[in-house]
Amino acid sequence: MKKMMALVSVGSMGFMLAACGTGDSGGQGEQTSGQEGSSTTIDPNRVRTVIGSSSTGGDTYQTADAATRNLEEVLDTNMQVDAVGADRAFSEMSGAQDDGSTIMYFHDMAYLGVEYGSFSEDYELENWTIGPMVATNPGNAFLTSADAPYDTMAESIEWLEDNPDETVSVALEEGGVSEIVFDGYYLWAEEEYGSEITDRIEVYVTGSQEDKNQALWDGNADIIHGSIGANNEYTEDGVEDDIKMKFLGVTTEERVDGFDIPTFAEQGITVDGEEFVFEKEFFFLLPKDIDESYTTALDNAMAELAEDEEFAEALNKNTYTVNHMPSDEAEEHLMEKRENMQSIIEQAPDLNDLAK
Amino acid sequence: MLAFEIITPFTVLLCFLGVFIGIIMGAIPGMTATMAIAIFLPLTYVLEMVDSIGLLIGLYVGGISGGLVPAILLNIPGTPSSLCTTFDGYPMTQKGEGEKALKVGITASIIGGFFSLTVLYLFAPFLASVAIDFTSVDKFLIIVFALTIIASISKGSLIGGLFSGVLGIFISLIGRFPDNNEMRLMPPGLEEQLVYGFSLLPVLIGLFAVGQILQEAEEGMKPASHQKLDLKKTEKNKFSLKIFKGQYINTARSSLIGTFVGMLPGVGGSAASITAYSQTKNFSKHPERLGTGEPEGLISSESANNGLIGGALIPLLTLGIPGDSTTAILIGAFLLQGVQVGPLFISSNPDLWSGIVITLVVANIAMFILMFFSIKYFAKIVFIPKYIIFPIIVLMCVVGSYAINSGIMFDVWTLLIFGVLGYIFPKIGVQIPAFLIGFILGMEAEKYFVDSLKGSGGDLTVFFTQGPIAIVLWILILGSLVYAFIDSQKSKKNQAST
Amino acid sequence: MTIAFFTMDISFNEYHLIFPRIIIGALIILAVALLLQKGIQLLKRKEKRPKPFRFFSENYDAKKFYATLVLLVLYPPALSLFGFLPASILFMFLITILYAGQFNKKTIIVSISNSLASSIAVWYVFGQLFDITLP
Repeated sequence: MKKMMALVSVGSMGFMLAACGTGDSGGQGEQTSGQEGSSTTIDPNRVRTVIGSSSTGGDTYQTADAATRNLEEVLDTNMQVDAVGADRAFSEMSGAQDDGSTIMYFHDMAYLGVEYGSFSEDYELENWTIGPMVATNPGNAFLTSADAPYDTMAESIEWLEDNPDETVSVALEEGGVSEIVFDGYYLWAEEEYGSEITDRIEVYVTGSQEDKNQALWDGNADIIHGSIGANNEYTEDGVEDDIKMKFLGVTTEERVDGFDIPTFAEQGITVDGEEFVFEKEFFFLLPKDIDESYTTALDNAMAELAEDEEFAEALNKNTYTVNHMPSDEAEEHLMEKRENMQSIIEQAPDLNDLAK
Repeated sequence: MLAFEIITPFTVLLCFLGVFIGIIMGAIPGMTATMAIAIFLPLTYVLEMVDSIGLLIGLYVGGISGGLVPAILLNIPGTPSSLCTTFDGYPMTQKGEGEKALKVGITASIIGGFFSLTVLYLFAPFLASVAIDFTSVDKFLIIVFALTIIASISKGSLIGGLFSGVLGIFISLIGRFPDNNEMRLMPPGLEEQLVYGFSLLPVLIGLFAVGQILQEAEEGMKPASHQKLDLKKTEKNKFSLKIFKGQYINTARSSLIGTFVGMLPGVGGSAASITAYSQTKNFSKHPERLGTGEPEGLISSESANNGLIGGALIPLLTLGIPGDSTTAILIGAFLLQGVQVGPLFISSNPDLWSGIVITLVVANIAMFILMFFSIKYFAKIVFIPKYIIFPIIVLMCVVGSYAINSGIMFDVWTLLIFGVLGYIFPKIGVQIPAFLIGFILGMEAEKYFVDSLKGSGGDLTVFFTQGPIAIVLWILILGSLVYAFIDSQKSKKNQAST
Repeated sequence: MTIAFFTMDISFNEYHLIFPRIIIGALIILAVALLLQKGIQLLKRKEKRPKPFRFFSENYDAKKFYATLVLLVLYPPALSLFGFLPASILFMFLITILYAGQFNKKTIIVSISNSLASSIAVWYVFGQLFDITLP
């Protein structure tokens, strides 16, 4: 049945396109408009969801796609995910109307980028209405080549201690999730082992996941930031030696189901005396002055979706998990999280001193 | 049949539809293969994996091939990778050989397509490990090698051409450098709009389409000379496979270059046809005729940009790394279905792998059939009065520019700014093709230059001491430059003597 | 950034300036070379007066040219102001009639049908069917 539907829709698209030259085309008269006052529908009949990533292969797009695909049914509207990239998404949001016809979907980089100075102050959390939390990518991890002489992040530091002539260089991206988790590792090492060890940690600052992988294969970096979803393929048996990788640790509180990767906490990595935990979470950002009823409708729809097993399954396929929080809870949570991270960012090393 | 155990007639049907829509999207200036795939990506969610791939591969092949239609008939590259198709394609149209040019183009396309899919099928895993051996130094040198074409296509003034190319690189650097998120070369007040710099597509169609329309407006929209030609009576417009006689090496070399450049992760698709065209010019028996409407140049550009497709799929399917921006979106299709593409993809999904290869065969055949039989109609575009076709082109360019980054109004302004520049440039001696090639390759050149230095800690000798690949590339670069210089001296002498 | 013999001091804070500096250098060198070349050419044919530089071609169509520019510049704001369909239909009508060059029954009909057909087709196919975000 689904096949038939797809065929019909693709077919009609093709036909319409062909008819393009001759022009005129009949409407289908299926104008939908939201029922006013109801708590699970919203007014705009088209909600443009701009996301903070310009890639359609990344976790932001994947989770946004799964969420909006389901939400649009509940909200009785049409949601379109536009992968415009972080800066453009923020700038579109600044100019957007308050009716919720343009909303944003992003992850922790939304505030980390402001804290690290990569995004303008105008984009800080206070200037938006924080919407519901949607999902987590628990696979936030570090990796190295399969034949590296250490198996965890903590061991990499011990290895540096045992081999005073060696250095370790870590590939990461500035201003985002990978920098904050690197900072956690670095600050811990500095506190526990002192600067004679951390002086031998270098960074290789680059962009996308592909660039980081390539840096590992080129020998430009010894350790790279990655994720279970994106990098697991390279760690499995049967992968050729020159591209094979292994995980050195994940930053979640608990181990990720089905993967034998020690967490940072297990390895004893602490910052300010507390276990270092960082989960990459995805949430909606709405215009500051959006109507209460819109947020409520989105909250209600999200709550319904969080119970949906199909949705959970869609996320699990790529090792993401459902992480539902209504908007007020999400706001409180993110503000607190940001405060914790602020203290790390304040103590964090300047990349300028670490880049080789 | 074994093939039909993996793909169903439904897959074939979707693939044909994909090709059909792709051709039209590719043929509309302002719409690209990448955009076509991005539009249909969410729709594939309800499809089976193989069917979804059939549709998307169809769109990819159709989109890349469709670009040759406006390139040849209107001198507007429908997609960035058909830039070099305009060099010889449009002059052929001006000579009244538009229909022939289209047929040469699609024949070259299908040859390039089949060449690359054969390479993909037979050597994918082996080539993948070759591809990751290319370090940032090698990639930088390949970009430089592609840039040497600027020297060989410079018309009239070698220094003028080089200046135009470097100016293009300069403009491409405006924006924020991704590694350290620092802005540079920013005109004051435009920081927000230009964070990512000027987008390629609006720049491309601005320079070609809008610039051309302004120029025509200046001249009062008079019918072009070739619009008055009666095509039926011109013998020259006949297409036959004889045109390919003597072009075997050219076709093979260009397909190979296309596949190879496509295979390198992070080296953009447009570089494929640029590099191939430049080599065709270097090896040609009469390089001075290239750019004046020689099928030779057309064959080179079109076989290379279809060669690119199979090439770009190699790192995608064997390493999980996209070879160009279009395959980067294709990854999304696999993830939607929960299929991981990575080093184990082929061995753990043998059926899907065969399905992809068969789909590519089907898509190339579909492309050829659909294009071949619709050429008669396409070719008539040339005869539509300018006062009707130009407004439509402007409309499509505006819509396409707005849509390329999913709805950014500044991209429409970019289109108009570069439209005006496209009108002014030829008048003040800036050469548009050279400028564009610089613009297309500028950011990649910078990325790999800086990456190389990051790796070496600032040691410049790294560009010469990185092993055999780099040395071969240096020889090619120098050869290409020396050749371009000799060629330019020769043509100067020719001009002086006539 | 200092360049010692074959080494460059690169620092993370200045990654973004390394390449632009090289390119600006190359641009200046090429510009100087261009000027020298032009200068030598001028000296060589001293006796002949150089042709004065003309920006516009002879008998250029001022009306069509400037009207095109004005219409192009007004189109994007009109899109934001009136929405896609009204702005595009109006723009398409004006530019078609401008290029047709005459104002009579036939050209008006052609312009109206061209503007309606293409605007509506684009709006329907791309905006509705493909769900692309339109201006």
